[in-house]
Amino acid sequence: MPLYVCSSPKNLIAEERKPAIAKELTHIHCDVTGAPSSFVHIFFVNPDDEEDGSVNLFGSIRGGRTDDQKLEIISRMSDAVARIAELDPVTVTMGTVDVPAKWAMEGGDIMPEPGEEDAWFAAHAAKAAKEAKAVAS
Amino acid sequence: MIRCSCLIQAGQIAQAQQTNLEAGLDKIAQTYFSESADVGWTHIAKGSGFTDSKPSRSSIISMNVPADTVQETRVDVLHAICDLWTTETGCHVDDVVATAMSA
Repeated sequence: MPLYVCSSPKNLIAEERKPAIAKELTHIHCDVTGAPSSFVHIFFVNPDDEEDGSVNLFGSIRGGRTDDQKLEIISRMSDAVARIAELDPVTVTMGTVDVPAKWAMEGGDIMPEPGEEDAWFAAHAAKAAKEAKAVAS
Repeated sequence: MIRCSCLIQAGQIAQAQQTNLEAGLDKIAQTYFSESADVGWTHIAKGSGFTDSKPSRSSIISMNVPADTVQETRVDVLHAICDLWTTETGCHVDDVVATAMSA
């Protein structure tokens, strides 16, 4: 979490452009929110009912982000998809939904609230080391 | 009916495993909510899934649970989903993202 799902008709976004789009969207999310990049998932899908020529980007992000942050994410990500995929910007739409961090689990641990990532990673690493030691002994 | 949406990387989970995962999600829904699970699958094509800007190995499982579900139950459900995934697929727990969402 976050998870950004980019929906478009098949072949509208060239395969070779997807890594660059994913990299840019990851950068934007981290730049705006300060979240670690290892949390960021970018998936491209081609639903059968997607309208011709349009791209919809939908982000499920941890709650606690400000309206300004969400607006910046939407503006910059929409622009990035259009620019890298060489599409008319008006064909790219985007929305986000807030997911309470305490309702999400990654790596077997409830996700941290925004800003508490460092403590989460430290605890997560300590738990993993303890489990590895228990398996080894 | 408890809706479950599963996004998985194409080719990473065999059909037999997917069947077992579906049965496992149904068992979790029955155990915690006394309802059946309605499971939907989306296979992310090779080259279309990225985590940390790199090719993704992640499975994202979202279970829509009743709004009055207390946090303790949500945590138990999330652990049950992670345990199901790692046991059935052999994946690392770091490759499992689960949510217990309510509208």
